[in-house]
Amino acid sequence: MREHFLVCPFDEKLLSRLKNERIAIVTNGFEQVHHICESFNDNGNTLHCLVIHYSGSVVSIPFHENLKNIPMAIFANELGPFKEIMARIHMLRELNTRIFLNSDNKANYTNIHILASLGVDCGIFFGENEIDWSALNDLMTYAIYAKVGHATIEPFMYAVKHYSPDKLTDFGTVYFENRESYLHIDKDENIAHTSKDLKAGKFIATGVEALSQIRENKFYQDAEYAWQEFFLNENPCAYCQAWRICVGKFTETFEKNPGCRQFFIDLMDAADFYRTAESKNKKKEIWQP
Amino acid sequence: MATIIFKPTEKCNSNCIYCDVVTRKKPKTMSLDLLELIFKNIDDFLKAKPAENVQVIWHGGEPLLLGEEYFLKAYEFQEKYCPETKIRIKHAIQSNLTAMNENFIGLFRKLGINQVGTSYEPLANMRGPGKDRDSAFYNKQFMKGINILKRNNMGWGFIYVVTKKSLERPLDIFFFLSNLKLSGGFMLNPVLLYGEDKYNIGITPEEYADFLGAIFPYWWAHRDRFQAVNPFRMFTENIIDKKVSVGCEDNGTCAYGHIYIGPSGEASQCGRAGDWEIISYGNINDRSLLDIMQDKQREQFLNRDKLLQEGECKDCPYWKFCHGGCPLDSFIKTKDFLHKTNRCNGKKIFLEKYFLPITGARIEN
Ligand SMILES: C[S@@+](CC[C@H](N)C(=O)[O-])C[C@H]1O[C@@H](n2cnc3c(N)ncnc32)[C@H](O)[C@@H]1O
Ligand code: SF4
Ligand code: SF4
Ligand code: SF4
Repeated sequence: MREHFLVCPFDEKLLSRLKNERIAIVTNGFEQVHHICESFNDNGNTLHCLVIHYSGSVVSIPFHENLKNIPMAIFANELGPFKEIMARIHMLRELNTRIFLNSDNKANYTNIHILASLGVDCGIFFGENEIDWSALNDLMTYAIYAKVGHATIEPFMYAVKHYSPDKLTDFGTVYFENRESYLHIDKDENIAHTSKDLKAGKFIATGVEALSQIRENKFYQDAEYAWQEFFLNENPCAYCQAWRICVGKFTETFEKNPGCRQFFIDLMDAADFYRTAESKNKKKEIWQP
Repeated sequence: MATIIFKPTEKCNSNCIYCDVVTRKKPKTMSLDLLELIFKNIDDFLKAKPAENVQVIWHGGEPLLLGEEYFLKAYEFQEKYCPETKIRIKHAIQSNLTAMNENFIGLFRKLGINQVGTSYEPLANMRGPGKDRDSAFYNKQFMKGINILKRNNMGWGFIYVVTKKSLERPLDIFFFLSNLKLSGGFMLNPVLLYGEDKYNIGITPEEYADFLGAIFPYWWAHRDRFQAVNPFRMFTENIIDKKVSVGCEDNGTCAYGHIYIGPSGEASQCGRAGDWEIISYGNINDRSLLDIMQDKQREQFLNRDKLLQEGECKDCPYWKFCHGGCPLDSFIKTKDFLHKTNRCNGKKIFLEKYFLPITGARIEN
């Protein structure tokens, strides 16, 4: 059985060719949201999530009651004034939505912290600029260790929840980038492991017919062992204590900005903490008469 | 359990820096006739010893160079000569995996092998073929080998040999190895040299102890993460969990449990003794397996246990899981098997400077 979710742009012709799939649709605005949802009545496909790359600030999103039950992952660069967030806070809390903010904007480390504390599920996504590993560490510490109630922050929650010491943990899943869970497909039916591969023309196959046999595909299988390249090429990530939870995601910037290592070591410790806390039945019992 | 260290070939496709086997001028391979004789002997041995089992560990050289046909023959000989006793024969294999292919999987399964022991080295030009030891080539082939095992749900574990080159980067090496095999299952063994140290790779027992000591705090703090890394797991089980289980070197019972059989049928106590040609039990062409297993020379190893317990190792708190160590390690230093291991001090350093203070454990007598 193939358990992948598909990630593709909104294209009615493509959708009509897919059957019984769970699909994440990538779009960049809210105008078509309802139209997209309505197109899911045929073929037994289900909408896994709407992935919205929004160029404006979060406060400029036309949030409305009728978005309430639609699963959405919104990627935005800016949040906008908190005053305006507060005006929408009740609705934001009720939506089936996660808001991801760009790490390129320094203010977002704090914005995410506040959003989570206000009960809005959120996350950080990594832009093009240097990552502030220390600020990221503070955010992760809050996300995992804080005792006061708050909404979840990704990718930290995913990483600690799915961390298992004897396996690789790929938190790329929260960004729809994980070869185990997602396949990316464009309107010409080119299939790739990641959105980056799809853009770069590194296809596993072309044509939706290939989907049912994808696990037998040679390029698909080869990618299963792609991680071994790190071990064959003297890559510093192969020597990294945090490899099992990072899997070399920041290898290109490691030399210039090596803070990733300490960050991910701390994330592994947070994962251990989380696992221990979970197994201790969460709530501590205090003395009672 | 009688363990046969079975070395049907001395041929190898690698030229690892520390390996004695590859220094042989003309590597030999066991003939099929001799292979056949060995299975006949195993059957006779097991019939004479109804409570015994035999473990055949395929070693080398590189055993996969024998080819698929050879393993098939071994299976056929076992079927032919050991129909009643085959249930008491277990096979294991130690291979560099660089000549692995899918066809071996079925053959391994026929022989009841569902995991493979192998060897790896992240530092360049230590393991690999050719004069310069092409480690890039070795590593690539090795990965292909483990991928075949993984695809077929076969387990694998590996040996890392600690040399002088390793001493500069203990933690790097440890993280590399544990990243390569997240579920653990590897051993950090000291390089053992007999004779000249041509490449200046030898280490002292004390250096080995400090190498382990540099890694141990991390392993101990995150032992759930790093899992089965030896000798750490072994010391933990022996000292903290009080489940005494140690390898042949330290259990004091190697006297009658081991036999080495080389490519011409030559027999010795174990792989190292055979490689170094320091103990000879004759040849399987001339003596039965049972006879070799009862060779008079073996008595000295049994007596050694008593001798050491009352002598050099008297009152040693670590006796239970050391037994004076491997007799060959005594021989290296003294040309006599009856002393304690030359690694005694290294063991004590590891335990007293690192293991006991870090874990807070105590040795109970
Ligand atoms: C001789 S090899 C035979 C099997 C196979 N060719 C392999 O390399 O795994 C068995 C093991 O002995 C180890 N070895 C070889 N020479 C050694 C030495 N001088 N000291 C310690 N271990 C050694 C190898 O690294 C390997 O793990
Ligand atoms: S934390 Fe940095 S060094 Fe470690 S694996 Fe990730 S990118 Fe590589
Ligand atoms: S692969 Fe094994 S037998 Fe061959 S040279 Fe290396 S250690 Fe020796
Ligand atoms: S540690 Fe040394 S003294 Fe103690 S049993 Fe081992 S060899 Fe003998």
